[in-house]
Amino acid sequence: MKRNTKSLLALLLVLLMVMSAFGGCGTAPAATESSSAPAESSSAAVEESSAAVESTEAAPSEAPALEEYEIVYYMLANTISKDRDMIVEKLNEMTKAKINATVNIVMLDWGTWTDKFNTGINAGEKMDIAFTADWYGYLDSVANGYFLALNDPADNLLEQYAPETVAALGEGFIKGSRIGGMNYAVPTDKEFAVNSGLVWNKDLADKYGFDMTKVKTIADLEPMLKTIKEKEPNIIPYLIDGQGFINPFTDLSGGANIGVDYADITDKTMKHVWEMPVMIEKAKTNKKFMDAGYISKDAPTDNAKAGDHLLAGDFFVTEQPLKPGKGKSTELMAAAGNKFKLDEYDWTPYVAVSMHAGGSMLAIPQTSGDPARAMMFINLMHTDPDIANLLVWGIEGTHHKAVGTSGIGEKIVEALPDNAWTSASLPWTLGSVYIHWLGSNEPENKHEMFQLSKTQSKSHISLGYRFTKKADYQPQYAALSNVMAEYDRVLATGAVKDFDATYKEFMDKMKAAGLDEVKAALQADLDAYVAK
Amino acid sequence: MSSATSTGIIPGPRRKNLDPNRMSPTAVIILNIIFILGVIVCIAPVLLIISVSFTSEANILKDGYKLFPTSWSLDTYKFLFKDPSVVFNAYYVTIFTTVVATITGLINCSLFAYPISRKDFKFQNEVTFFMFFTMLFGGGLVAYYIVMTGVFGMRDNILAMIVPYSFNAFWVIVMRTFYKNQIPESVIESARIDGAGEWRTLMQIVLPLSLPGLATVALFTTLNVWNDWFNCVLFINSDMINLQTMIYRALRSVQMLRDIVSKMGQSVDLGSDVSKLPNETFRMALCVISIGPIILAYPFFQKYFIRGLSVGAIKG
Repeated sequence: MKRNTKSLLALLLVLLMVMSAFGGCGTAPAATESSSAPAESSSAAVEESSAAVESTEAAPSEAPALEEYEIVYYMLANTISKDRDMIVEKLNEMTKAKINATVNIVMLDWGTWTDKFNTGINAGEKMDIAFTADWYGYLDSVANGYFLALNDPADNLLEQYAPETVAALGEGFIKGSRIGGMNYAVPTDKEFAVNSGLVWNKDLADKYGFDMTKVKTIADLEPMLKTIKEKEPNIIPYLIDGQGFINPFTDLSGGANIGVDYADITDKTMKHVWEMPVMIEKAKTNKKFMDAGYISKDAPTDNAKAGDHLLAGDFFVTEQPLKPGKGKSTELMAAAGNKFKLDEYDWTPYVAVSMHAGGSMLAIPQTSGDPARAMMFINLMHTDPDIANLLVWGIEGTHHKAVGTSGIGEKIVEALPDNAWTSASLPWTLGSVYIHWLGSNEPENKHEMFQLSKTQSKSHISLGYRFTKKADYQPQYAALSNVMAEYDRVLATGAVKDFDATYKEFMDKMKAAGLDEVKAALQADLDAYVAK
Repeated sequence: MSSATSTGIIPGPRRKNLDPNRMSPTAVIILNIIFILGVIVCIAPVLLIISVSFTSEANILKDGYKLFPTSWSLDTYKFLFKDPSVVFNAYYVTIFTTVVATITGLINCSLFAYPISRKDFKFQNEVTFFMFFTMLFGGGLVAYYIVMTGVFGMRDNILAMIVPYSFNAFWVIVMRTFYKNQIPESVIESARIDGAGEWRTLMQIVLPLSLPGLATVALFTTLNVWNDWFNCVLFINSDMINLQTMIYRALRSVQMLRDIVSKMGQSVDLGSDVSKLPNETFRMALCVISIGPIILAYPFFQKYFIRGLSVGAIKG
């Protein structure tokens, strides 16, 4: 018996040895990697960051005294480029000369961002710069305390290290990206306000002699849709997606569709989007169109593939968010390979709301080892054309080629086919688009148009307001979104038998789900914000 | 045919064929129809996936999914294999990790389970509890991440996709139960009487008799590793990604590219023509790619499943 036990123990020992050998294997290759030492960096980061603050406060003007530092930049990318090392090497030559820092770009794509970013930051991994956006977790990240306040009066990183960027962005972007008066991220400097309007197929409009600029509401489209329906069987007369149309309001609740009127910039009465008369009127028009067959029967379902039809060009007219100077139709045509002609016409004025100001931003996480240096690099992305364009367009000859200059002296470049960088980088996340070179398929006045949207837009009274108490109303939010998931699409696309009855049923269920409660909380919160 | 009539024990009925497996022709037809329908229900979606992956995107937009599309197209596969090294590299990583993780997992689980299945092992309870405890409590994702990257340094390391599967407490319990129920003590005792040591008993008596159990563990480990994407997403930053992660990334990227252009009004990719990107067909092509080789693993393991039902250590 005793002998037995011994040999069985020996078996177990062998097993343990096999397993520990694996552990040993694992550590060996990692030791050679310089980029991965999270165990040390997580604890060191805290000390370092406090040390960094002291050192920068002590000597802000002594630029050469900067110690060499590695900035870890979590970059949102479309794909993970295999040319990353090439770009990083080139970038480091520039950043070393300017701010004595190297940049380690960690590229994360859409599929992996949320998991990796959240796990990494919770594990205390070193991150100096990270992408964020209103529609991509900005509020949650700030609520969890992931990001540093950049305009903290005690240590105003924005003003100390990025004055040029602050000036170029302007009041609208800076104020519009705040949460509770604090900037937690630096917005990308790009087009500012978005409005809504009509986009239509120019060839078809010319063929039948329609004057689209006379259309003031969707209802005015009826005679034209009738003609298209009769004469062009392969064309969808009126293209809509599951939402039905562009909401005439701005959602301030973060998902419950409660907000203020978008077109009236002084409106501060919180309401649900379906409580607005214009919404009901539009939905009723859609129902009329649906019954007449001007709208695809698939519209309320995911099968509608509105985005695909938009690029396939087999539609006559659609309502879209527009950009100044016919920017939207130009972009759509370029995206579809310029196979058909589109035209557009503004319906609503350009109004700046928080959602647009926070459309794409770079934040400095708490786990940054040297926030000052991170801010200096963000500033470089906004002010240094060489650095910004290296990140956008890659290396000349490998990723793009120069094709000329525009009338006002801007460089025009063309991406080389199948290159591994321009298909991966997302220009609207990289610093200031005003210093990016123009693409050969973009309109020459692109930057001028973008500037117009900044100067011409009026600020909504709610600009810079964000609802931070969503967590207190979690059950109501869940209940509301359940009800909306059931009714929103069918109501908006007109796929209902009896609109009024369904609408009443919907509103009753919303009230039961706690609509008034959430609305009151939002109203009190907004009133307090406006009063300040 | 019938043994009953030939031996003459049962004189009974006039019907000569008393074969218990014999059925009336109508029953045969009905049962056949039922099974054929069952097979069609199983196979049709797979065929649809394959045929959609060979349809052109424009056709899908116009006609929807069709088993026999009006025109066939190789565009999706051309797009997918634009850089074939990506796909083959992903295959390589997946096959390598699957094979290695399955073998190590099998060795570890069967070796751990054997001692704790034996009543004469003194520390049976302690060792079992040591393993069982890990099933009750986990440290959560963040702790797991810190241990993997900080303690073991498995970032950008292919071991990050192997080690998590090289031991599984649940499979140890399955194997232990298998040893206990399927290998009677008398077999082990008789081996000892014949002079076999512990190693010989395990290698030549116990393991060969446990093939069905081992095959079960191997199959499920294989499937788990083959379908794993989370470990890869979490720990791998380089292009050393496995098939599932490649598929996941490619899909998300194509969808986001199209969505951003149409919904957000942002231009994304300055250089290329987004409308040429396949979407629906792309999903199906990726599906075809991912089911390819693993489907071959089933018949191999199936053999052992069937044997597992019929083979025991003691005959009679």
